[in-house]
Amino acid sequence: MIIVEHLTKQFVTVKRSHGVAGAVKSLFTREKVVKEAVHDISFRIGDGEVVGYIGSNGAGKSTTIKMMTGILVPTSGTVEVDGIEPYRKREENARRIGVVFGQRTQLWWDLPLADTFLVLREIYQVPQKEFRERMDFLYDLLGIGDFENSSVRTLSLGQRMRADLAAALLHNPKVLYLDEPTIGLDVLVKDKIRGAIREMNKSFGTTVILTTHDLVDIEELCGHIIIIDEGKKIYDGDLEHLKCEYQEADLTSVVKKIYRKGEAAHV
Amino acid sequence: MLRYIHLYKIFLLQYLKSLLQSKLDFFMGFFSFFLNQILGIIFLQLVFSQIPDLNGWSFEQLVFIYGFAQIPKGIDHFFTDYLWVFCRKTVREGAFDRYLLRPVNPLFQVLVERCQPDGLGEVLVGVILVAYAGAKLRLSFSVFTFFVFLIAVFAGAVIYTAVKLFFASNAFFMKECYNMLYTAYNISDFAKYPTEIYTKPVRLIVSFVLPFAFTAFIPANYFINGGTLLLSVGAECLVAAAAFLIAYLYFSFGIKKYESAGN
Amino acid sequence: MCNKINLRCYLPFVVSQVKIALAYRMAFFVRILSNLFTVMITWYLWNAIYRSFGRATMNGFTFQEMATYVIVSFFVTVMLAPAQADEVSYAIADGSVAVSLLRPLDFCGLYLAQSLGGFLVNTLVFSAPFLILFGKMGKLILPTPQRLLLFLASVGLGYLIMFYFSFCFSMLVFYTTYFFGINMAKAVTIRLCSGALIPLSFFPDAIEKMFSFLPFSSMVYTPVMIWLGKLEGTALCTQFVIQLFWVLIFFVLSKFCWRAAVRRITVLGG
Repeated sequence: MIIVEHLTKQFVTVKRSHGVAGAVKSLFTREKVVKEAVHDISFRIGDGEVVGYIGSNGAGKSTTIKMMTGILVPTSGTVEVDGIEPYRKREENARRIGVVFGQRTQLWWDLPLADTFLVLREIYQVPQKEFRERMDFLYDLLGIGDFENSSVRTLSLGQRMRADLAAALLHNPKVLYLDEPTIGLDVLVKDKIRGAIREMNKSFGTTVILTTHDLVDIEELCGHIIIIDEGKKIYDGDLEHLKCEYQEADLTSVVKKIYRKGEAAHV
Repeated sequence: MLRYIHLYKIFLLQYLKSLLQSKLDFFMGFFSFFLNQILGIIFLQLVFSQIPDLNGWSFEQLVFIYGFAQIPKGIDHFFTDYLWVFCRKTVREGAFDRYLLRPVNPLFQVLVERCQPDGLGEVLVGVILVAYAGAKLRLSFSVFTFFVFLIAVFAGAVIYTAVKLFFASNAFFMKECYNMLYTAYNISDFAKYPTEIYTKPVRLIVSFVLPFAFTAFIPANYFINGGTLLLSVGAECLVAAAAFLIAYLYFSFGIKKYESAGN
Repeated sequence: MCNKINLRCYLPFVVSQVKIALAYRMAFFVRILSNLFTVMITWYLWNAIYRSFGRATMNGFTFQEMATYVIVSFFVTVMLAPAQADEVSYAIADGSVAVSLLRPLDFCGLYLAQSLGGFLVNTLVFSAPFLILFGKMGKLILPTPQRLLLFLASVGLGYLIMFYFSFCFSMLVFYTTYFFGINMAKAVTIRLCSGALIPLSFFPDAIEKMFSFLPFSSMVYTPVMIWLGKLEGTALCTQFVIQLFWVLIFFVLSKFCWRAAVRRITVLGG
């Protein structure tokens, strides 16, 4: 389903100097710095898998996801999702995926939720009957019927997350990307979201790629785990094997070990 | 193509629905833009209490040109207001991603994202001024002239959108693009007057670099003084098409850069 | 000890605003360009007007004086721009004003200090060089040193009036979601009544009289007339008194507005 080979991404930024003198200097000159966010990453994700993508802040997770969703072009290497390269055929790829960003909503700020879904239905060209069926399913699963007439602006974080999730799923995407979907949510809503993800995966075979700092999410949902640190892949396999390899009983301890190693490598 | 028209209808409908829910805001915005246009007329009125004509142009003729200038500006303002937000925030805050994640042309989405009823205020002022001046000048309006008028006004709106789009696309290349957009947009103010009062270099800029003269003075002149249809409104349409093409290419170029460099 | 009285606490805010203004290189150059363009074209308009007029003096202004008026009034609006206190309305609109309640500094004073950073940049970098340049080029009449000082004093007072007025006006954000609309109406009214659009003497006498009772005329019209030397002696003193009067009124009003605002935030949650 998803094939990533030797994926690399470099960013070029401008160096900035301090103080007023530095600010004046920067008016006339520019110094460039190259940063490698992702280095030679390869992995494969099969149909219907639920994959957890873990890494410390700045490890390169978002960058990888952006390349997989087609909004960032790799410096080198390839990504293939369901047979096509996302950044080459962006619109076609967009039809088959759903994306939820924990930090930002994809929905229109001022539109009532129900109207938003109608607009999205038009955008993804979902047939009427199928749309109704899925909306019923998602309303049930996520409990969004209660606030369907409110505009996104007025929703609480938990409601907004559920709405975003429904919006990402209403066109039955083959792949669902979740970037920190449970951030800032209370335990009940987290449970609901996890349940929804599990259900989607079970009923429709949706491949799910989940990046999160909440390791409980990973333990509850993911069979396949990929760990990235400093832009490089550190682990690619299943949860049990991971615990074995690092000789820890729970995921949190494993991850702490890995992050610490990464920190130490810096010093 | 048809799909996009259909999509736009849906967007517009939904947006208007939610907008009309806050009537106070609607009227506030409407009237404040209305007021802003009146300022220019007040200026003219006060000035004409001192002089008989301006370079051979009468008060009514100037009012006609001024009013004519508001209509395409207002139309563009109504439909593509999101470009301001796009320039100021969208790319910078990483909110542009969601347009790329949908199977619809991103430019279409950006242009359509918001509609701003304030623009109707400008259109209304323009229509009132044009009607008033047109009556005072005893201009004749046949069905044909009306049709040409609509085309001229629509092409003018396209020019506005093109200029806004071009400068808003700078958001892909620099952090602070709002000032440039603001400047470029405000140069349109000066197309409200006959371009002959300016020196040559200025006239050239307002006519060919940022072709606002084609949204106002040149077609308005045709309606007041006659002249060739082709050289005025015809040229305007050509300019509109060329301007939009250039802006579109720049925007697409910007997306390419965004996809390679992130934000 | 950081409290309302220790002015040194405000200094970092002023400095940071200056740095921010300089740090955006593109905006820096473009803003200068955009200012120039606007002034140039208004100048051409008046040029054509005076040519059609035929005579040398219109409403007490020769063409040189009018050109000076146009240019100087424009730069006065540039200098006054930071006093619009936009940040205040934004801070209220997005709720971040609540955070300011946690700091042991006077909110209003804080924003005044921040806006002063912008004022310094606007005056010294965006305005003064051009005024001098245009003066040397003969495009406008330069004032005598005394007039210049009086001019600056008047601009300073105008700035404070604009700031405290805008501060009070920003409180309206609490009552509407579409602040931009009202803000635009405010900008339009100020432009009309302050003399920025056209010298107030061009208005019919009755209206001109009415304007003299409003605070706005002292923001642009008064300083520019001082620059031109058209406002001297007792008339000048009267104007200064009027300006001080308005500064005081809006300053006091701003205190009340702020207290009401705090009450509203702490009771309703902003």
